[in-house]
Parts: sequence; structure tokens; C-alpha cells
Amino acid sequence: MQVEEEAEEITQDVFLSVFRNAAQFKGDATLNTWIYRITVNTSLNYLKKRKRLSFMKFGESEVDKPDFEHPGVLLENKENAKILFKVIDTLPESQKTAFILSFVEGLPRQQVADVMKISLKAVESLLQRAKGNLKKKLEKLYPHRRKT
Amino acid sequence: MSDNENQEKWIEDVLGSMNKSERARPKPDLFTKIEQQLDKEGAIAVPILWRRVAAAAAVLLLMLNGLAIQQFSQSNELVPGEVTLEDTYQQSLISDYKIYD
Repeated sequence: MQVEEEAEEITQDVFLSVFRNAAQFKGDATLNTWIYRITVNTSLNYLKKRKRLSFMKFGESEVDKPDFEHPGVLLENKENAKILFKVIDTLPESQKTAFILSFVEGLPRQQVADVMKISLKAVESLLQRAKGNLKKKLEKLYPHRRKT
Repeated sequence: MSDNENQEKWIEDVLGSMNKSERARPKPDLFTKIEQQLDKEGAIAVPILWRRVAAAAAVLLLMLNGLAIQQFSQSNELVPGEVTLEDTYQQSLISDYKIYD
């Protein structure tokens, strides 16, 4: 989530969801993984809802939103991170999820697989495709960057 | 460094720009907000819990009643040769009538 208020809203929803569904936690995954799974699903649902709403509201497109600045990024990486988040946004949902969990959250591949309920091989394949797509997008952005 | 190499390096830098980054921290009042919401949820959740307890108690009561009825009916079945309380009562009545014999 790239807007602070939205991130807060989702955090609250995740806590409530954990509270409501605590009895359904079977222990087949770690608690950490289970909460990550709830967070990913809540965020994806929220994004879908927002997309539907913005589609109905004329003139307010997703392109209009400002560049995202992650609050935890190192000062020297700020500009590059802005570009990274811009291109991450263009990835298909599953590639985006795998990439963010691996390279932004820094989760081990196996945990990413557990959160997404897919195999380790599938995660590696998603990450490979995500990196390939990101490189293609960045190659197109590079000449523009050189001019600036 | 050639232009191609520069481009490659830049792309790698962008892809690795989240390395060593810290986690985003929430505003200090977020936890209080969540606690307040959980309190509201808790107030709704208690009656549901009590309804479940009441249902379980009702089932237990029915089972105990069933068991008691079953045991009572089994103990009331006559065993040949056994003297029942009723027999003793009738005998004492009969003996009472012969009081002046």
C-alpha cells in the first residue's frame, strides 16, 4: 500500500481479521505466515475495490497518483526506489506479490511460497518473470533518464 | 564503462534499491485505534460465546435426562422372584386387615 491512510486502514482490518478468525488457525503454517497471508489477501481485495471505484469515478485515474516514497528506504536509494515502485505497479498481481514479499519484505522463498500457497518452484518462476518484466520496463525508462 | 554497461548497472541498482531498507513504522496512535476496535468486537463476541455455552449446557442436560430415564426404566423391569416395594406394601396392608384374628 502506497498511501499512509490506506496502509493504516488495512492494518486495522488485518488485526480485526486475525481476532475474528483466530479459532480457525490450524497451525499448518507459522503464525507469521498466516498473518502475512491475511495481509496480502486484505491488501489485494482493497486494491481491487479501489480500482473498481476509480473506474466509476471519471477523471480520477491511477496515473494521477504521486510517486511513492517508502519511508524506510536508505537516503542514497530514494530516487531509484521511487522508480522501482512505479514499475512494480505495472506487474501482474501474482508477480507483484512474489516480488514485494521477496525483495521489499525480504522473506525467504519458502515463506513466500507458504504465504501465497504455491510451490517453491512456482515462486522462483514468478520472481524470474517479474525480474524480466521489470528489466524490460526499466530499459525503456533508461534513455529518458539519461536526458534528465 | 560503455553505455550498455551503464544501463545494466542502473537497472541492477534500481532493482536492488530496497536492499537494507527499514520497515515502515505506523503512527503511534494506530495501536490504540486497533485496541478500541477490538474492544467493540469483543462486546459483540461475548453474547455469541454465551449462546454457545447455553446450547452446550442444554445438550448436556438433555443427555443426562435421557440417561436418567433409561436407567430408571431398566431398574423398574421385574426380575422373576424378586420382591418389589409394591409387593411389600400390599402384604403389610393385608396383614393390617387381620389385626383382630
